[in-house]
Amino acid sequence: MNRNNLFLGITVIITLTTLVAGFFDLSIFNTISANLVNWSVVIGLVALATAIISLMRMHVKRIMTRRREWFYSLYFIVVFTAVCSIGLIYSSRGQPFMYVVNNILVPLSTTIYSLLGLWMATAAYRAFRVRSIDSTILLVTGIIVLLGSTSFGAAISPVFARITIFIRLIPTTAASRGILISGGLGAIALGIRILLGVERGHIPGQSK
Amino acid sequence: MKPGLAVDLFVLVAVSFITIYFIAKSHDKKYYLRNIAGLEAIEEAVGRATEMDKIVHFIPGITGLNNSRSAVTFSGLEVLNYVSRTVANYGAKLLVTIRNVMVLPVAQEVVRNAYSSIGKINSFDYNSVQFLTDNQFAYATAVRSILQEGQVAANIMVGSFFAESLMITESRTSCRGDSDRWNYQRNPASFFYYYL
Amino acid sequence: MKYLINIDHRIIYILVIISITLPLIAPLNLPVDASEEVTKIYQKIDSLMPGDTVLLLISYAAQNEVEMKSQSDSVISHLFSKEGIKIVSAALVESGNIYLNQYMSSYASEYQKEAGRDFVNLGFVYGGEVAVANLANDIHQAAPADSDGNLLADLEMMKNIKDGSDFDLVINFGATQLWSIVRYITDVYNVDLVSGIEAVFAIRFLPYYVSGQLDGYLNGLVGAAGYESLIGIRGPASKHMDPLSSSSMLIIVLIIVGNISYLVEKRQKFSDRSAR
Repeated sequence: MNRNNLFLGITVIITLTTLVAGFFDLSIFNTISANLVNWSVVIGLVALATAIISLMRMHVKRIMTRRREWFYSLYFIVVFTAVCSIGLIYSSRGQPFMYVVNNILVPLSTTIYSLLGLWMATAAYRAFRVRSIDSTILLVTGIIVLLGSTSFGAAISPVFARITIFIRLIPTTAASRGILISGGLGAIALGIRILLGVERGHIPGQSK
Repeated sequence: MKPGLAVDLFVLVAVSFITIYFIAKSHDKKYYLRNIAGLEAIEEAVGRATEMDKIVHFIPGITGLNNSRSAVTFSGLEVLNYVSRTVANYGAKLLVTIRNVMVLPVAQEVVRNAYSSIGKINSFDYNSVQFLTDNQFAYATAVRSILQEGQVAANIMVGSFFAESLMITESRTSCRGDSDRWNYQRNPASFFYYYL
Repeated sequence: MKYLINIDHRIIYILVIISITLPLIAPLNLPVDASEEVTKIYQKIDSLMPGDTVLLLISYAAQNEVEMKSQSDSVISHLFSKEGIKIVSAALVESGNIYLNQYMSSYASEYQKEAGRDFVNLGFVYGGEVAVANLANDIHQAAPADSDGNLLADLEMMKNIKDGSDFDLVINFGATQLWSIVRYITDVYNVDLVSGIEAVFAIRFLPYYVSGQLDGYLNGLVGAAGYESLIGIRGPASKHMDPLSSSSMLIIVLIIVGNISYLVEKRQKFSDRSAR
C-alpha cells in the first residue's frame, strides 16, 4: 500500500469512528473514540515537547552564532530554565512558583493586554468618521452602545441602555448567528474534503 | 441513536452530500469565483521581498487544529501552501511563526510539500517554520520584534486571529520601508497583509 | 481644525491614561445596575437547593485577570455561601488552575467547606475541548484523582457524580472553552449553564444566550460590577466602573471632535472648489 494512501486511510478511519461514536451509542465505537480522544491529549503533549526543543535549538543557535541581540536569547533560556526548575522542584502550587506567577506573569500579561485599550482609542478616533451612510450608522450605533454600557449613559437617560439591549439582542445576535452557522458549514465542508482526500497538504509527500 | 441528535445528523448528512456534489461538479464545470485582491497581491509581495532580499513572514492563525476554529486554521495552511510555492518559485526567504504547538509539525509538512511539489526540496529549511510561544500576547510581542528587526519585507496573516492582531498590525507604523498597506478583514477568518 | 482631524496618537494615549487615572484617585462612585443576563445568574445560584451539584470551570488567562477575577470572586463567594451545595471544580487552561487553587483554598476556609465532602478540585485537566468532552462523558476517567492526589473513587461526594448529567448547574469563567461546554454538556445533558465572559468575546455568545443554551452571562467588568451590586458589595469591579465610564466618555468626545473637524474641513474644501 502506498504510504500516502495509508496516511489518508488512517485519517478516514479515525474521522468516521469518531463521527459514528458521536451520533450512535455503540459500545465498541465509544471505547475506540474515547481512546482516540486520550491519544490526542498525548499527541498534544508530545507536540509541546517538540515545539520546546525546536525553540531551544533556535535560541541556542542565535547565541552560538552571536546573531544581533543574542543576549535576549540567553535571557530567554535562563528564565525558561529557572521557572521550569522552580515548578519542578517546588511544584506549581508551591509558594516560589506562585510568587513568580503573581509578581511576574500576571503584571506583565495584564500590562500588555491593557495597551490594547490605548490602541483601540486611537483606532476608534480614526475609524468612526462620517464618510458614508454605512460609516454614519456605525458611528451613531457605536456612540449609543458606548453610552448605554456605562453609568454616564444611564445617568443621562435610560433610553440608551434600552437601545443598547435591543441592538445587542436583535441585529448583533443575528449577525453572530450567521457567522457561527457559516463557520459550522465551513467546518463540515473541510471535514468532507479531508475525508475525500481533497485536502492533502498535511500528509507527508503530498503535493498539489 | 443518541437522543436529540436526529436533526444534527440530518443537517450533517445533507450538507455533506451538497459538498460532495459540488466537489464532483467542480471537475466538469468552471465556477465563477470573484477575485480576492489579497490573494492576488501575494505574488507581488513575494516579488518585492525577493528584490529587496528580505523575508516573507507568514502567520497561519493563532488557534489550533482541535477546536471549533480548526477550519479557519486549515484555510490559513492552504494559503501557506500557496505562499510557500510562490516563495520557492521566486527563490525568496520564508519565515512562518506558529503559536499553537499542534500546528507546528503540520505547517512544516505543508511548507516542505510545497517546496517539493516544484522540485526545490533542497531549498527547504525546517528552521523557516518556528514555534515562538503559546501565550497570546507574548507571541504578538515576539512577532513585533521580528517585524521591527527590519529583515521582513512582507507580512501575511491568514487564519484565526484575536486581539493580538491589533498589536501586530500596529507595528507597521514603526517600521521603515514602503508605506503601502492593504488590509482585508472578514470574519471568522481574518486576512491581513501589508508591506513593511 | 486640521490638527483636530489628525490628533497625534501620543496625545490620545495621554488623555486616555488621565481619564483612567483620575477616577481612581478621586472616585466618582457612579451607580451600578445589574442587567437582565446578570440577574439570571444570581437567580440561578440563589435557587440552588441543598444537595444540588455544580460544575465550576475556570478557563481564563492571566491577562484577563482584572475583569475575570472580579467576576469569579463575586460569583464563587455567592456560590460558597449556599449551604449543602456540592461543587466539582476544574481548570481548562494552565493559568486558570492557579486562580482555581486560590479560590478553593480561600473560600473553603472562609465558609468552612471541606474538600472531599463539600467540594472536589480536579485541578488542571489538559486537552481543551477534549478535556470538556472527557469530563462530560466520564469524570472519573478524565480526572482519576483530585488536585491533592486523592482518588475520586474514594471520595464520598463523587460516588454519585459520574458524567455531565449528574450536575444541576455548570458555571464557567472564560470564553476559551464555552463553545465546547455548550456542545458537550449543555446540549447533550440539558444542564443549565451560566458563564462569565471576557468583554471582547461576549458578543460571540449572544446567539447561545438568546436561544437559551446559555442561561445568563457576565459581560466583562460591567457584568462583574452588576453582580457585586446584587450581592450588596461595592467591590473592585464597581470601583473600576468609574475609570471605564470616564474613558468611554473620552472616546465619545474624541469621535465627535474628530467628526466635527472632518466635516468642517470637507465643507471648506467644497466651498474652495466651488469658488474656483
